[in-house]
Amino acid sequence: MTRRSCCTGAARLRARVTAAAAGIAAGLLITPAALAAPNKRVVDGAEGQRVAAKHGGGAFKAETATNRSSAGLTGTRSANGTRSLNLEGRYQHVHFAVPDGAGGYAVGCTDDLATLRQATGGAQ
Amino acid sequence: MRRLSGATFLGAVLLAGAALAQGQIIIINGDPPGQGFNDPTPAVPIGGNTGTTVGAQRLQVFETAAAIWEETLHPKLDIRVLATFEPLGTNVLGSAGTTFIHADFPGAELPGTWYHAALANQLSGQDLAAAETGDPNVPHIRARFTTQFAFYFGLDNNELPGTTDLLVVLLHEIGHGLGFANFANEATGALTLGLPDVYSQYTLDVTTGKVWNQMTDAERAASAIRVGLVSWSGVNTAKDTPKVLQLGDPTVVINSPSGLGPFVAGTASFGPALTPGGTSAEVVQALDPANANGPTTFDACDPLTNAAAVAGKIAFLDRGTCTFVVKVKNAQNAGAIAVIVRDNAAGDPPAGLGGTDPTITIPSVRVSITAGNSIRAALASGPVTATLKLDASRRAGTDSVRGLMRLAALNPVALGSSISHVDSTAFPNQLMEPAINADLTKVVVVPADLTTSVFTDIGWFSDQDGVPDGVDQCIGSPRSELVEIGSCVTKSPNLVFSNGCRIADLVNFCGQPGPGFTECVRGLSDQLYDAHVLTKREAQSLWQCAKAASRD
Repeated sequence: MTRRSCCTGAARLRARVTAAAAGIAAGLLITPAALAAPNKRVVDGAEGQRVAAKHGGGAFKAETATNRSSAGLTGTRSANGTRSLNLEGRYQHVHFAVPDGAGGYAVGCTDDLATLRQATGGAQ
Repeated sequence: MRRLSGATFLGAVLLAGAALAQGQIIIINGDPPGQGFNDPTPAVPIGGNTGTTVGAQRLQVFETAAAIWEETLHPKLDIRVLATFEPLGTNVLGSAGTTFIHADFPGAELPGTWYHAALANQLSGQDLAAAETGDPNVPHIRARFTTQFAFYFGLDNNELPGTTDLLVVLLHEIGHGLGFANFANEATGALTLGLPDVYSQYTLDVTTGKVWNQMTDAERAASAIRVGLVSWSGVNTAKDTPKVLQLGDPTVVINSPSGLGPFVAGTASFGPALTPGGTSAEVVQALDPANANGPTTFDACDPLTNAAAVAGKIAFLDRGTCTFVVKVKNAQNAGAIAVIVRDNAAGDPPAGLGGTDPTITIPSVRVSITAGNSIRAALASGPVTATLKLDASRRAGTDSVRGLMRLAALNPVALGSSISHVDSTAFPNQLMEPAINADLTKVVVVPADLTTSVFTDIGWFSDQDGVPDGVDQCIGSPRSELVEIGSCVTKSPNLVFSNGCRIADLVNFCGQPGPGFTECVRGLSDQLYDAHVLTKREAQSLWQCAKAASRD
């Protein structure tokens, strides 16, 4: 067999393999049972409230959630070189609803305060 | 030792994924007694959600979203989501995002680059935020949702009219927390503490050929508003895009006068879909009374006063005051064969037209205010003819230069959360578009959705071969130092190429043992020798082992 036929066949197989591998890697292993019967662990009660008090950031503030500036945040660096930054509630995405005039809502997501204010101000 | 055929190669990937899937996505219920997740108000089970209180139903939706992402991403470590239900203000439904970002940790695919906390943990195998804070329950994602909105708590994507599917919203918001977001300021282009981020590594401006991490702040800010020209460059998403996005991009083509358009179009959720052939006709300004129903003569909130002129033509009208279905229905009643709605607020690309009316039988689209003003100006100078169509030369939501999945570059950037979303022109609708569309489901993988393909690019399934997964075309390559074929260990080093593939991958692509396999490996070894990748001895050992395996 010539090199050409070799590589044509290889290319075909490569396409199949990479497609299948990517499919697996991409998480096609979702099982109906996993979707229908969630049994994930939940931390609640006193521990849940402790975590919320310590890390929850207090009451929701749109200005904080949509803040895209790192000014005032302090990064750390560990002994092995890892850099870490506590975002302190910034860089969040905010979901909002706008009445669609037909009894429902258009629902969108933004990380921009002006968009959020315009949208939640009721303008369609 | 068995040869790693294509099938066993895939099996190895599968087993590796299963073996590493030790973590869970844990919901930390931060609500006090009697509130939020603990709300005791009785509720009737709905859509597969078996909870019998409002709080229990909320929690079950969260658990289901967590299960979907967990089954998809196979986290090695627990991912903790601190969640609360609380009043958030009028029409604010929720918020979410990562709590920490990390860079330069062991296992990072890109140096000096920020990663979301959960993804950094996946790559490093360590809980970096817990190590940083000393708190083993520190959350990696913070999520808040409102108690003031009528969410649909069913798990079947069968939301009731007037409600919003919480499960889909949650999948989207947790998706941001897992990695579908950058940390650049899109208005100024500024980076966070001067470091780029993994999402921006694959955010490509197709006009300059630069990814965002290669740009100056000014270049990033300029790129953020290049509508339709900022795309996702990761190889896994590029490979999956044809499996997901349909051919045909909604477009308004101006046939005359020349030099105008084409314009990006937002499609309607009602009426017939656009077709590749499209609908062509003269464009006519629709006129109606200016009154309490609609304050201008261009808003089409009342029956049209120029029905004779509109009949058989494409009606051109303004957004505002009344619903889109009212406007389009008035145009249809006047005899129009299609409708172009000019937006009344800045923003490009235009969103779609929402609403429902099964009696509408003509196609309609929205164009940006800029495009609409151009059409209006042309109408003032003479006849305008147009075609509303699907541009079949590319897939919906891909760029015209490289055919990659577009990100939501908006102009002006201040009027939308932009690059951290898929462009709204993608079809079928994608989970990570800025608008949550009613046809979304809980499927987050190919062939329905490209979110997990993006997650593959940023490293959720990294094989730690030194090649970032966004350019790695062989994630999960065999890692032996020498190439092994069946029980035969070759003398060929299992070199890794810049595309992430190793020589063992190339051998596996030759298929099953047999005459064809042997010849294929011989051709491969010749190529590797000719390219000075392998010595003659190393190359010969490849096909000699292939021959041996084929004899077995």
